[in-house]
Amino acid sequence: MKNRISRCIAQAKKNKQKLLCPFITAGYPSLSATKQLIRGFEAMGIPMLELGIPFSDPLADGPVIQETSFEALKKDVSIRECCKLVAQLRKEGCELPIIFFSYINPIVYMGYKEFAALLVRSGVDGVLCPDLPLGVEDHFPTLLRSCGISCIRLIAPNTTATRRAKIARDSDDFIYYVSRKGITGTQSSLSRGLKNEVQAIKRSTTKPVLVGFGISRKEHVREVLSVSDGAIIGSAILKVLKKQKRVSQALTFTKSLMQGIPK
Amino acid sequence: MTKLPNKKGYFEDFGGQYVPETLMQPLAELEKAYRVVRNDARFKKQLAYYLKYYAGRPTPIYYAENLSKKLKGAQIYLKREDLCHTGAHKINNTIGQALLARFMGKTRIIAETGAGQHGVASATAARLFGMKCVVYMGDEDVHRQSLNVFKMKLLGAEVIPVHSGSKTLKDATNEAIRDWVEHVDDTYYLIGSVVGPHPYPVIVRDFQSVIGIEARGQFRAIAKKGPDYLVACVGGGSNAIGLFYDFLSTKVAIIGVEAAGKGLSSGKHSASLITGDMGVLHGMKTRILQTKSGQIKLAHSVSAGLDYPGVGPEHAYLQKIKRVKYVSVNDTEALNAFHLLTNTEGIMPALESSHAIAYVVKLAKRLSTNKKILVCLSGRGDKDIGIIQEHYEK
Repeated sequence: MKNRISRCIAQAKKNKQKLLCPFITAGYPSLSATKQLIRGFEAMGIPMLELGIPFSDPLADGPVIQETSFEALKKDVSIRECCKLVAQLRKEGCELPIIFFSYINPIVYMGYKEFAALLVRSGVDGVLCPDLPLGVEDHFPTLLRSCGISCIRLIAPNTTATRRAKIARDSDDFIYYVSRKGITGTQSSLSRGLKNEVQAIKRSTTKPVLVGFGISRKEHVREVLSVSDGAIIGSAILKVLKKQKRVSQALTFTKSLMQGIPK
Repeated sequence: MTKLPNKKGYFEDFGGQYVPETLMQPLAELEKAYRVVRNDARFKKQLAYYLKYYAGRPTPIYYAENLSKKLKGAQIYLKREDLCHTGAHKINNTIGQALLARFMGKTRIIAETGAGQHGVASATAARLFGMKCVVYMGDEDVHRQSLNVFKMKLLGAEVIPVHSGSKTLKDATNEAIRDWVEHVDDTYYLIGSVVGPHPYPVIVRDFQSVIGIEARGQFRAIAKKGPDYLVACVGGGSNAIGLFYDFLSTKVAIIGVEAAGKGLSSGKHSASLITGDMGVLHGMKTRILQTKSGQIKLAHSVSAGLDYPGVGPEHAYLQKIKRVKYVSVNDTEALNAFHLLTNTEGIMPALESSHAIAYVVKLAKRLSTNKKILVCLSGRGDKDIGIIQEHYEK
């Protein structure tokens, strides 16, 4: 597949570059703030972005993403609104790879075909559904792929070895490793088994492994990147955004996290 | 009828496992353990023992003669689940699942609760088998059902008020799932209805099907033939599946009653089967109340136990194949039915069960006196006295 994500991954591989990938809730605190954030991320050299589509019942998420989603929903931020935003960014020349992180219900309600077509029209590059594990409605990822959209899969610490290998084979472009048994959110230290677990995945695939859930400090970034190919950071950035209410502060914080990337 | 669900947990289009990857292994483990115990003679013997001597089974079928005569129609029979220990059918499931949890070596039980009946039944089973119990309950419900909260505390359970989202049952369920994701090693998630990811809808159905199995035998002994109609209320749908399941292969007409709240057109109701759309909530694909952009809507009913925006996937299937007819009854009709049963028979039904009674009132009047209706009186009304009083004094 040749979309912005695969090009980004290929380039990172070539340059032996580690990836720092932010997650933000679309529409929090407003869609215009989301737009500013995305432009800001692109300007500071962020390679890829996960855009969280707000959902009323985000059962894989901790308090920060629950609250930001809830706030965004008060403004009726929907899949369609998010697509409009991406389309506008593309029109303005933004080439940052964008992955939609969405629970499956709003997609089921819209219909898989319409969803895929809308994403293609808007310039969205990939989809990650936290509540659609491998083996459940696999025809949906197949449909996305046939439209040139990547489908990213998650591996958890308790995923069995056979299943891990299957997921690694199925996931497009890279693998998202969930750093701990639990939900999204910040934590003070990372799981001790992380290194071994990431190495176990890397033995079964040549695809890059990005680690997410609970990464909130520059030191975490450094630690995670010493064993993996990238780090995904969500709640920590949203927390800053919540507290400071300013896009610029969230961008400064993200920049500070980038200092954790080994040169 | 072919055996459902299939291997992946689907009742045709409904069911499945729409969960975070972290739960795939625990669900596989649960399914494996359940497959062992469901055919294990020792487990079955234990379960039968506790159901009989602890929960008070079998519950009787009572011919509601006064009510039947007053309505001048069909004969009405009540399956008296209200006589179970803790006051409702919920105990059938919590004893079964707590035994399963013990078999799996789990030491901590978590549960979600709306009105608190399942919470109390879970806390009770946890006490009985010496396990730690944590119950998630929406903050709104904690205030509405303070008596049940106190009961759970007396039983040694920790009640955690949930402040996220709408602060009701749906959010309590999200929070219980989040807890489970974090503590999968020592924790058993004890779901209270035939909802959630596979294999929960099957496990809860099996533990509740004792209602229908008993009723079939009892009814034959009383009336020499089967009932003409079965009626039960449907929130998540556990008492209904419990009564219906063993009868599905017979010719009896089956009716599930959803809560129409303030009316189906008011938008304030819990009729997920009648008005809902296909969607995914709490790990299952089923009929769900949702907005135009696929967000889950809030349900409403005067009865907290029916106040849920989804429904068990097997009900969605039974509706699709037209084996069961689903109808609805509003708040006022249910409240009137509460008073009617109380005044005619001296039995105070739970507001959930009052929905079933309310439909039976309409149905019985249309039928001749030789027809027989069997209704599941799923729980007693003690827990609802506060709400009844509020409406009474208005």
